[in-house]
Order: sequence, then C-alpha cells, then structure tokens
Amino acid sequence: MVNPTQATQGTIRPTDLHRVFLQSVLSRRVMPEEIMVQLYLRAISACQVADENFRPTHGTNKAGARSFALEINRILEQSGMQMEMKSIRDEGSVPRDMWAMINTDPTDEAANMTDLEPLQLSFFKAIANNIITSYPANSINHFQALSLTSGLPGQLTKSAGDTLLSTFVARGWLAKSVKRGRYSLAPRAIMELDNWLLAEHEEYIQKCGRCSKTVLSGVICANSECESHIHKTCYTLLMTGRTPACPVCKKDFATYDPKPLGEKAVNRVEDTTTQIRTKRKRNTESGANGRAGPSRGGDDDEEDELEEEEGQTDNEEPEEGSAGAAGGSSVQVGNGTSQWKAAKTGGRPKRAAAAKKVQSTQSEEESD
Amino acid sequence: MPRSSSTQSQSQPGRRRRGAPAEGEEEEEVNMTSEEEATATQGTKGMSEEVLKKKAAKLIRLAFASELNKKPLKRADVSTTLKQPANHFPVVLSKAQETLKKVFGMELVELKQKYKAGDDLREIERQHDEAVASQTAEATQATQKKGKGRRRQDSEDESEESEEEVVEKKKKKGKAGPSTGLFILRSILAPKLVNQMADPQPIPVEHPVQDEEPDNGALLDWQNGDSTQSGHIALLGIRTIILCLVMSNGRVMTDEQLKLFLRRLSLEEDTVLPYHSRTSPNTTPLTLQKYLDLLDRQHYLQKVRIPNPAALDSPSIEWRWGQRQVEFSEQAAATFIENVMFHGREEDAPAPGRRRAGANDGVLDIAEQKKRMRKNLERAVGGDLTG
Repeated sequence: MVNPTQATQGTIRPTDLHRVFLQSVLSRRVMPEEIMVQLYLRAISACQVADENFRPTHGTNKAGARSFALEINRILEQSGMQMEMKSIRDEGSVPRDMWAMINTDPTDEAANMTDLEPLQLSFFKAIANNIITSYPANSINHFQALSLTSGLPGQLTKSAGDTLLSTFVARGWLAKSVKRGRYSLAPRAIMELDNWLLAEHEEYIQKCGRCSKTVLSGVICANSECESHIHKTCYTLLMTGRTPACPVCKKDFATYDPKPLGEKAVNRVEDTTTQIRTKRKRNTESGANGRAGPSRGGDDDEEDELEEEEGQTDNEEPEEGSAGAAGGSSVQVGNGTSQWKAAKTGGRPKRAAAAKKVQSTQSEEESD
Repeated sequence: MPRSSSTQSQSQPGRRRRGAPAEGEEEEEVNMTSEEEATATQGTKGMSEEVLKKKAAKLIRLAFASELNKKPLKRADVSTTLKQPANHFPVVLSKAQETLKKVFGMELVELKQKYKAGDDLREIERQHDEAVASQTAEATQATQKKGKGRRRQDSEDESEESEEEVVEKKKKKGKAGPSTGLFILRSILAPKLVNQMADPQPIPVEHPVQDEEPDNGALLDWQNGDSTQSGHIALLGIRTIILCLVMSNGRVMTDEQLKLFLRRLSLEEDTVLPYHSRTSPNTTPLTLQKYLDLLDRQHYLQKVRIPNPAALDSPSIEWRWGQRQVEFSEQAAATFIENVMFHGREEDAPAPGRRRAGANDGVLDIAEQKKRMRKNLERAVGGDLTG
C-alpha cells in the first residue's frame, strides 16, 4: 500500500511532464495503478516527442511512477492546492491498488461531486450511509439502493436512480460486485470521504489489524475476545506465513477460522430483499437473541428494520444491547449546505469499543 | 490568442472606475477587464502570502468544478465563496493564474461580450433607412455589432465580423468594454504536446475486471470527457463540424442553412443522438435541436434571434460562434478542416503523370494545396482567423 508522504526537500520546479501528467490524472480522477504507470510512461514519451532534449528525472517503471507521484504531491502542496494523489487497495474481485486525485480540504466536503445536483448528491449520501450501517455486509443490493430514491428532499424516479447508480460506478464512487451485484464503497469514495466516515460513523469504521487502514471487506478474527478486522489481501499475506495467526490476538487461523466481512457476511437471500434500514425503531431485544425478528406492528415503509441481514449468520455476538443507544435517530451533521445524515442505529459492530479494551488490557499485562 | 486587455490600451483604467474601491462594489460598475484591473491594482490588498495562496488555490478548485459542469466560472461566485470583497478578485486571480500555468499548464480566460442581436436590430433599421434613402444595399448586413455608443462593447475590436472600417472606428474610439466576469479554463500546453496527449492506444491490463471499460489509453481521457450530457466524444465531433460550417460560411449561418447541411449527415432536428457518456447522470434523450440549444447554453455556439422587421412575427434564427472561441479558436478550426481534407494524403505518392524529373512534387503539392485552402478559407470566413 502506497501512501505518498509529504516530505519536503526544497522547492521543485514543475516541468511539462508534471503538467501533462496532472492533466491526464485530472481527466480520469481515479485509475488502477497499472494505468497510472502507463500514463506516466506515455507522458514521458509525449514530452520527448515534443522536445527531443527532454529527459525524465525518475525511473521509467512502476517505482519511478510512484516516486514521481510523490513529487507531484510535493508540488501540489507547495502551491497550497490541498489536493493530492493517494492510493488504496481495491479489495474487489481483482485486488489492485487504485490511485485517485483527492481533495484534502476538510472544509470542502464533496468537492469532487459538485457537478451533481443537490438531489443526486443526497441520493449518494443516503447510499453511502446505508452501506456503512449495513455492517457487516458493508454493501447493499440494487433494490435497496433504488429504494433510497424515496425519502429524499425531492422527487427522484427509480429510473433516474438507476442511471445515477451506473454513473456512480462509472465515476469510481461505488463498486458493484460482479458476482452478487451488491454496491459497496469504491476506493475513490473511501479515500475522498475518509474524514467524513470517521466523523459520522466512527463506531462502524474498523482498522485492519495488520496494516491499520480502514477495512470494509475481508475477514474478522474468530476469537470472540478479539474480532479484529483484516483486509482480504492482508489476510492472504498472513496466510503465507508458517503459522498464520491473527496479528492482534495471535490465535492461529487454523483453529480460529475467521468470519467473513463484507458481502460474504450475508446470505445470498439478502441480494434480492427490498427492505432497507433507515431507522431502527426498537431497541435491540431481538438482536440480542441473535435471530432475525421481522418487525411488525406499526411499521410504515421508512421504519422497516433490517434484522434479517444481521440475524442470518449464527456467529453474531448479541452485543447490541450493551451498546446502549436503543432508539433510531437521524442526526443532521455539518452545516446547512452539507446535510449528511448520520443514522445512528443500534446494530453497530460490537467490538469496536471492546477490542480497544482488550488491547489496552493486553498492553497493561505486558507492561507489568 | 489575444487577450481583450491588450487591445484596450487606450482606455484609462484608473479614470473610469467610479468611486473608491469600496466593499460590496457592484461588479457591473467595473468597466475594464479583470486583467486590466489586476495590473492597475497594486499590492495584495492586505493579504498575507499564505492567505493569498490559499484563496488562489480555492479559486482554482472552483474553476475545475465549473469546468466539470461546462459552466463558466463567475467572478461574483468566487467572491461569494471566498467571502471576500469584490476588489480582491484581480489579485487572487493573478495568483491563481500563476499556479495554473506553472503547475497545471492551464489558464483562466475571460469570455468576451456576447454578440447582441439587439444591436443588430438597430443596425438593421439604420441600414434599412439608409437603403431606403439611398437605394444602395450595404455590402455586409447585420454583421455589425457596433451599437450607437449606448453600450460600450468594445470586446469585438478584434471582431472578425465587421468591415475593416468599422474595426478601425472602434479602435480609434478605443473604449473599454465592460468585463463579462465569466472565465473558462484553457490548456496552454504546446499543440505538439496536446496532439500527443490525445493519441489513443489501448492500455493492456494484466487482469481486466469484468464489466470495466478498457481505458482508451490517451493521456487526455476524451472517452468520458466532462461528465455533462455532452461528454461523449461523438458529440464533440458533431460540435466541431458545426463550428467549422458556421465559420466557413462567413461566421454566421441561418438555422435553416445549418440544418440543411446537417441533413447530409442524416441529422434532422429531431434525430436522437445516441451518444451518452458513462459518467454523466443525465439520460434524457438528446435530439439534434436539443444539442444545438445545449451548445448555446455552453457558450460554444450562439443562437441569435433576428427579429424580422418586415414581418413582425417569427424571428429568424442564425447561429454564430459562442464565447468559447477562446477555447477552440478559428485557427484551430482551420487546422481541423485541413486535417480532415488532407487526411491520408501526406503519404500519397505524387499523382502519376504529374511527375517531373527531379522535383519532389508530391510534397510541395500538398503544402501548396494546404496554403491555398487556408487562403480560400480565410476569404470565405471574411477576415483573418482568430486564435
């Protein structure tokens, strides 16, 4: 995982290569590393055609491209642009590193989505919210996504919603899984919305036990006292060791076969359900039983609870009760213009707080 | 590409400004271009280097966002978003231009005044009167933009449409036109470089992801273009052709005429153009007529309604180039025409039978033909090509 740091080593004078490369990146916004490297190489040859005396200052290979990206970031920083090139791994069907030009101005949310109409932006936010709160699935199916066209501050038809979903995928905000057609947050969204995710959904955001970056899909340590979340690729890497074990609690994977995180955490039946979690009315009794309790009585569409999604897997720890917040509430966050609603529900990942406790007790023990 | 400021040297920037630079001063009262203001303004209006840099960066990001929507950046919007008094704009703009040029190879260009049909009407009337009086027809009609001094719209001083004398008159008067306060982004990289950047070669991907469209491989991703309704490359092609047609016709073409030409490409006004950029959320079917109107809104074309003085009913419609000619200039259009007409002929061997001993006729012929075509084109357009 490459995240260029901002080490400054004196002012850098941009050349045409920087400009060409920047324009190419800006015209795409997000691209797999393979493409990014190719763009870099082609930018070099373009400059050489235009000026036969041109010589690249970094290697003409992947490593050269990466260090060139570092330089680009330094130049952007010098100019106060508050933009930078970042990369994270796409844990989709083909794991690969994705690069994107990210806006880093914390006061400028959704800066890269300004060409969307407010209503379209609200739709995206509703989807993003639901994806996060769909933990551990961290994904929603097509019907659930479409159902979010209602409840918006305005009229959005299902067919418009349909097109928008394709647009979001084309632009790299959402990923649609090939096998099950479920929508999850794509690398660009995860990078771009990093601050927002942490602010609004702190209790949902897990960091990988191996690399410490945000993890939405992969595995969960089966040790009920640990339950660390690990990226798929991080887990694959761990499995190549001699005695693969959880990096946090050290229990070996052979005995404690990890549980899935992400779409694999939910049954395929969930791929066609139309129920969506918007608010959680009840407190978490039914959740405490670890079983699906279909909500009845007094439901209107918006109040449907989605215990089915959670209740399917047997290993779910009945911890919702202890988590505290019973009622469902929508909290409006941010200033008037950016109304990102955080739906605080009861179905949070249980071990966010508990895991921290375990780690602190462990370290306590160690220090003794 | 000449900037509007360079030809308005005869105006006195300082004098015309009404009142001291006060807060909340109306944009309309500044009757010089933003660039003139920048040179006239001294100092950094009390902003520290850091603050200025930050504001300039924000301006640039606003410019990027506007470009995504294919909408010009409005000076007033910038001042609002940056929460600053109007007279800070030139200084911040100047700093932004510096960064744009150095880091991105781009610049912000101010749009010139729109061609106003209203002026035409007066002109038509005036000419009509004259014609009636003297029974002589004016050689060029309804191409005069010049108002009768009621509006100071000099931005057409480099106007291609006016007769030479009118241009001279304007230059003599040398009045500064009010700035539009509208800006668009433009790449300033050398054409040679841009050509390289547009060249597509599919990038072989080791593990292609299912359903993912392969990258076209050109540095500038024209496949998706901007994410507006008109982002598709085929629509860009149609637009370029329309611009070339209008230009070659003397910089103006009636609606009827244009549609007649487009019919040859099997495009009727209600033909649905089945081109849609994947990254555009807009899916309403785009007919040719709608596309023409869209081009008008995007400032590529300008739809001019000529009220018919004789018959007071339906105005006739004519098309001219819009304010975005700073982005795609007449010279660029001429080059496009040249490329189309001479496509593939560079490598042609000299025509058999024409071969003369010793002369590399083939090459000369082509170059000569190109020159000739360019000359004819200029004549057809009605003046030197801008840009």
